[in-house]
Amino acid sequence: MKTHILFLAFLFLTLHVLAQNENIELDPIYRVAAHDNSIKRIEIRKGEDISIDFSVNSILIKKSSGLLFLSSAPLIGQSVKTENTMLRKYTPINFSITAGLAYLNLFGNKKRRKPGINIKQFNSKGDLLNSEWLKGRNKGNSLEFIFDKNILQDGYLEIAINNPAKKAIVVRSEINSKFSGKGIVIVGDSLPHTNSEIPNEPIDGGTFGEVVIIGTTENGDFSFEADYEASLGPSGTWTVDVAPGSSGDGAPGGEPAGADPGPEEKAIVRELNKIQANKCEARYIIEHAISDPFIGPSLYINKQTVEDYLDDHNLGAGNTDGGSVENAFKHAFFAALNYCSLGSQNAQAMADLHEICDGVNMNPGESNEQWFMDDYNNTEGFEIAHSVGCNEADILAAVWDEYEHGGLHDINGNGTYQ
Amino acid sequence: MKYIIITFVALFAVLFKAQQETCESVSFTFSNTTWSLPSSVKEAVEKHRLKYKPPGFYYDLQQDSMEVIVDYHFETGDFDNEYQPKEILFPRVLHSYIFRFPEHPGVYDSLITTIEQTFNKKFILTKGLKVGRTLLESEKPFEYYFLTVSPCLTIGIASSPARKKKDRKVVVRFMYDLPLGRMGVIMGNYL
Repeated sequence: MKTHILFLAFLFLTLHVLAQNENIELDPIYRVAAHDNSIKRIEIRKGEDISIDFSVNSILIKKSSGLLFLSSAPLIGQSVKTENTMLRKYTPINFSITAGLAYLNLFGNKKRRKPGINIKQFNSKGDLLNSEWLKGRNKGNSLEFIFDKNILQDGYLEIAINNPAKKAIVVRSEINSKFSGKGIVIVGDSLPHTNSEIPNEPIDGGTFGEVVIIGTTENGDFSFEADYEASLGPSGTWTVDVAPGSSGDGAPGGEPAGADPGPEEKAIVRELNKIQANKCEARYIIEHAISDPFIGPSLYINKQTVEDYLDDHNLGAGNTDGGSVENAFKHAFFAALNYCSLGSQNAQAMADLHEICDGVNMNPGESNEQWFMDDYNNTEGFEIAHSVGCNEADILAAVWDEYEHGGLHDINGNGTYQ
Repeated sequence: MKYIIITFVALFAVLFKAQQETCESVSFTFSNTTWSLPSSVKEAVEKHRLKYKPPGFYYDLQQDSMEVIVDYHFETGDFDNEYQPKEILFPRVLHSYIFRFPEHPGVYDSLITTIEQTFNKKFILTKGLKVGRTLLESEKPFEYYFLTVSPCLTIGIASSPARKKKDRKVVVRFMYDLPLGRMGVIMGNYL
């Protein structure tokens, strides 16, 4: 008899716990659905900074509090919902004996069980990239969870909320999303205003010493002078006048201004140095700052993506050794991403200017083998993006295929892996 | 009660100190040369007279076709300039010395035997999950043979992946103060 009681007690306790674990659905627009076990997804895109703040309360709320925030609903049991989304009554009983026992709290565990939030990130093809349980922290009567991430590739998030507690919970969430423009944004107030020192990093043998913005008007017209000192390739100071939808003359000339650079000028210098552009690439980026303001940021993000990918996927030699066979993969992948981010014309122009600037071959040394290799693999990357489209997974599959079957060229002009 | 408090304070002090402990520098001998970690790229290049290929490949071809390559903690933008001078990355800190050999019958096994006898420890097949920003979940599991010389120094050995038919390599990598997930990532490079 004693054994039977113990067995039944154990059985009830086990079922009791299982019955209280339940995933709930979270709409992208901040709403919990209580009776749908599917997990909600949020579309995300490359370069996006997304943050989601969750606030979890184990109390009942009888009224939804606003349009932009989550309306409330219990996780366990039934809720009665009126047409105007007000919750009138909550009955914390599931339709099972075990849940009824749970309500009676016969085998209740006094230890407080906290809800958990799990976020899975998938790429566009549905491959799982990351799975993360958010850590909650107490804030007053509620439990706060924060998800904050810079998105590196297109895809979606799946969000699941788990409630092992005996009480129903109310989850409020707020989603904030913005594109992380880590590059040149010349017009408007979005320039980072900072007084940090201008970095003095070499760029293809040279350095941008000073950029002076001559004038900025409300409609976005601006002009500037840029001073570039090169130890390899042409140096010079040039003036560019740019209006929305037009490109500047880009003609060298003028004198570098003597005034102290303002925050905008510093920001431009910093961003040009960050993407390691040579003089001609930088001039192209600035001339197109109005018509294509994301050339700089896109190049920066794509470079990061490619370098991380190579390091993670046994191709690290491609980052450090420009003549390695892995470097062929790097150029093809980078070119394909640029084709999609910048468009074919801009991507081709940037690739060409990287090799030849104002008629000067930027590849040092007498041999052109490196240049031929890079140029060939860049072209292959463009063609890959042109043929398979801009899904990053498709691009990667195609680049891998070319790389492993001789479609790319090594430093000797031979097909890779042949 | 006060004894309990004293015990807990002492325990936390020990744990806190343990967390703060960092690796001391190590030296080891391989191929009749003494190698030191950690080291800046500059120190390694000058001490071992390493050659350079841009944008960040420091190496030397030694006897028996053995190549020495250094691997270091790089930063974003370190390789953007494909033709930068070698001094640009001199401040970076090494985490690995890589010894790369052409794969011939017996090379892999003899290296294992030599290293195990030198350090008087065994290589152990180690499984783990890679830590990287671009890895899919399915790409994270790894297994490599690691020999743990000390908590701060691990030796890994691997040969080129099966898909590579020509110019196959065997790599011995001495890794300094790296977490397992990171070792799983970098072991696949330079093969």
